[in-house]
Amino acid sequence: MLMIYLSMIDTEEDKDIFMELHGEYSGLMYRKAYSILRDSQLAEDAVQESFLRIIKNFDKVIKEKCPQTRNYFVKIVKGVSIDIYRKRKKQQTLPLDEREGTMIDEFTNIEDILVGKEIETYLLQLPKSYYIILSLKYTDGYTYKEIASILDITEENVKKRLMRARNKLREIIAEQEAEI
Amino acid sequence: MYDKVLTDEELDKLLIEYMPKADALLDQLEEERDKDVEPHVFSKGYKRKLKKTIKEYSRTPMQKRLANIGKYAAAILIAFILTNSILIATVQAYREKVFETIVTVYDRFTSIIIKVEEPISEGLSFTEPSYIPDGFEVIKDKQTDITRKINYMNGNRIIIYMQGIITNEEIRIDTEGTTIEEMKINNQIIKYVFNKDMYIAYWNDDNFIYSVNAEVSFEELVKIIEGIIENTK
Repeated sequence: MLMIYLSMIDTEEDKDIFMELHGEYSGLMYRKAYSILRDSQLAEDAVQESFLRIIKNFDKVIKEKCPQTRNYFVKIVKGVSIDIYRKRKKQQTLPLDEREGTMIDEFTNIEDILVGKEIETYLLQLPKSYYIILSLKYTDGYTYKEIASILDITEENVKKRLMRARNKLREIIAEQEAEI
Repeated sequence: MYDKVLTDEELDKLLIEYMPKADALLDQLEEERDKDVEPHVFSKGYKRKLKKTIKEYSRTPMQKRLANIGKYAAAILIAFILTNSILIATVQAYREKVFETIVTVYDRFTSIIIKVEEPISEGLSFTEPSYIPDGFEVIKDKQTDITRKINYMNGNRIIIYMQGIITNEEIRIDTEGTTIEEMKINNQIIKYVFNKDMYIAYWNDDNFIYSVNAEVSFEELVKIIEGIIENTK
């Protein structure tokens, strides 16, 4: 598998760095992918696609093991995994944002951890694709163009998805606040 | 806390403050959930499947282009014999003092069989272009007993020079949709095609076949060929 990636990198130094990062994060990325896809084969496919996207944006990667690099790789594999998940579910008649579930769906018995974290909880109730794109924009500060490259969608779709994500967040906040 | 619909500015402010916190919380939840999970060993089936695509992904887009063009150039280089067009309507046999060719044109390709009575390679030396347009640099220079190939690049543009000793060979060339033109440079007949923004030119003397694949203007192509012919005198 590594042979595929190495050949798309230019210098020997870049190759060494990529090997190191691949070794460090591929397992973590697999776990993130598996948590969304619940299928080992699909999770491996997601990891492979993620590394190909990372290579395409390798000039943007902080070329060392650090929280920012980890965060970047995780965001990419989550985005890829969600894409795969959505494609598999596209035959369903549910609205798109309901097909893929929310970030918080994957966890159980977490009420204690969420105490005092209302806004964060609202955000985790977003559909996964909306959460990812908001995170890329507001945590990582990527531009529309960079987000488009990471998620492999057009800039126009980035803007649309961000708008829908923000509107969905407004809905969630309004619903939750009304219940209080 | 929020008893009205948030404006865009309020929402932006909220997201800037709380999105990183949500990410940190998510990390915490995921670490707790995955703490006892065994490290994944990527499957053999996955590795086997990937082997099939390794060659495809193992080249950069530029390397793919060079490989594809190189195959085409090599076919023309080895196959091209002497004078006359290889795009002919009927089977013809050419008899020359040194070697013989039988050329058959099919719908999608041209088959060329080369027979050399006594292939000669001793005492022969390869040449190289004396003129290459500004900005192009050598990225590969490979020579064997019977061929020399030099690749030049300028940004995304390439030039491939190939020179080969004429030997026994059967070659098929994709000539579908192409029109081979002809010109004369320093008394040498040069065949060339222009396809997908690239000139492919080829010719021969008594011992060698030459080809130039170049993403350059026609004028530059002529100058390159002139320089090669000058060097072979």
